Amino acid sequence: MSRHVGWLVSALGLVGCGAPAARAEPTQPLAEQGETLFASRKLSPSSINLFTCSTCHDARPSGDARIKPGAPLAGATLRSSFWGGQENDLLLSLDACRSTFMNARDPLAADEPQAEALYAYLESLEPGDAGTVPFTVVREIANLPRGDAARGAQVFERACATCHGTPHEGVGRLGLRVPVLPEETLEAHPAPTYSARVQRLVFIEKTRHGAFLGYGGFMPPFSTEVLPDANLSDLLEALGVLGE
Amino acid sequence: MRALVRSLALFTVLGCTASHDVAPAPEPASSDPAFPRRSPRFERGGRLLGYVANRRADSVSVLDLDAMTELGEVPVGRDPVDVDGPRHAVADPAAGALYLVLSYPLVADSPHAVENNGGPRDGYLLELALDDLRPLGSVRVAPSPTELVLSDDRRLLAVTHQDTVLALKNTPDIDARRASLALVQPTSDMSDGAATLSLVPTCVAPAAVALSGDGTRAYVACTGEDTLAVVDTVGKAVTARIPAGALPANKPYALTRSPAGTRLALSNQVAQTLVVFSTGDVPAPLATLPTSGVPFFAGFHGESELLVPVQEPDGVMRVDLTTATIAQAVTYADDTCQNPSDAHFSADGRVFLVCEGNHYGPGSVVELDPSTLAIIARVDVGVYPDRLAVVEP
Repeated sequence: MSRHVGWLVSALGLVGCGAPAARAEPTQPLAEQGETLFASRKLSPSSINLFTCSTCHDARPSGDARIKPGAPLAGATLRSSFWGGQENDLLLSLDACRSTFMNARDPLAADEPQAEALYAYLESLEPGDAGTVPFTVVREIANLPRGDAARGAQVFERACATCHGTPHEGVGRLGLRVPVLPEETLEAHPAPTYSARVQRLVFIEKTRHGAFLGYGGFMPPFSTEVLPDANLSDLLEALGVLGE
Repeated sequence: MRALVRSLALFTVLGCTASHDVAPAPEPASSDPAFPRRSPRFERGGRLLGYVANRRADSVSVLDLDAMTELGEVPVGRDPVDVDGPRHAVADPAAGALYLVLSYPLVADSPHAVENNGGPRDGYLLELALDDLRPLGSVRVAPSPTELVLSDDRRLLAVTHQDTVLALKNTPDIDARRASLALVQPTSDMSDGAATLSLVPTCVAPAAVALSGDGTRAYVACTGEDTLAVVDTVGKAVTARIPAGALPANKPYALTRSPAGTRLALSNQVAQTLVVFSTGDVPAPLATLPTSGVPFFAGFHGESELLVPVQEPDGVMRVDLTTATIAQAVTYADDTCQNPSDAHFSADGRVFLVCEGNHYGPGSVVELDPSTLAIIARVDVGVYPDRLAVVEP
């Protein structure tokens, strides 16, 4: 289905024959539909999805306000490589997000209305940074040096709070399945089965691997580019996960 | 197109019996298709092309074997973070398809990766478009898929699983340690995972596989049982197990079949022998040749000549099958061809060799002088290249 026909189907859906005689709402331009979708959980049909694109990506670089695991999307339609070089196709990259983080079972086809709208929005962000965005995944999890708790509290606010809510209480977290940090993650990895040292490694592992490399769940991985080891050390200090 | 769309919209609106107050429809943003695929295309254009899966780079290198250049290295796999471990690309030019397996080796060192024993994760058989390597379909197979082969009539794919976790299971029941041979009909619909798949329990750590000309028999190098197994692909059962060699421990690994299907070449890595077998219901050993190193995948030149890559020391050996003798042997330095693993003759008699490298940096494909076996050209590929698939012009 071409984008024209997709738009037509969408338009006809709103003015279809037999509909109640009422004033139809103006159809949003595709790019605006895409912008809405960018911030909507409806990109996945899964009822347990908690994520939107904007959970992990800024549309454009936003300075130091938030630490997001994904790259800013302006420039994405011009890039030739994604996921640190593990993908070379934007739609496949998007589907990797949908299936891994958003629990979508079926891939999105390029001619689906959602895909057309999202792509129109991404195009509207251009020209962005068309360069390959580095994304280094730490495969081998090793302990980190101690950090600074005050700085770590700021890291938590910028990198973790959007999904996990406030530390120790989880106020404002995305959903009840998102663990309150650090307590619920420690409960899932209790002593003495997990030593204090391994509990600390589990936090490092989850931050670095997310849902991948044998851990599971829906969390995205934080690369060393967006969250250097020093920041992670500070974060662990703020959470009191000291390995001792 | 835009005018046509407007006309259709107008027609539809006017065709409605009810009177609606219709807002003007917006213009589509662009006439371009959404998510256009921008990856490179690899047209054959009368060239000899090569495809190599790079096991530790999660990519396929596409080579112009006439110019000995890399046309592109394309990422492949299903997991954008984990190492998919693509192995052994097999081309079907008539179908415009390239097949490979994703083996998911254990590469992460972390509490959960260790706790889960690295999986074992099920592997996948992947179907890609030959011209741009876009995914066409996949079939989930068993853990540790290793080698695959396409039958001459292109109606059957066979995949081994050298599952070492299963092989090392602490049980006296050998059947509990035996991994399967996956049989897949590539003509079935792989695009939605609905391909016809049969898993035939075969042997302990089956490594390599060759099919008979008619595809009714699969010959399997059984590393963990020291045998060559024969699988009836129609009856889906093992019908024979033949000793891989004369020593108490031979460790068969690589296995290739001659073009006409009359001979098998089995490489025994501990015994360091190459055993030439007849084909048929019960293959018979015809010759056993000592190799100068650890033998890998031998390339047949017709029915009368074999080129055997060896490692430690690195080199190749030419075997005259008419006299069952080693006719020639050469060695290579690490900086010319480190860890050669797969020899291939093209239809016009050119000779190519895959050099794995040190498994952490780029490997290479080299072209050999057919007479002297000296390296005459080289092209670097990705990390830890697997076997070479050649697509003739």
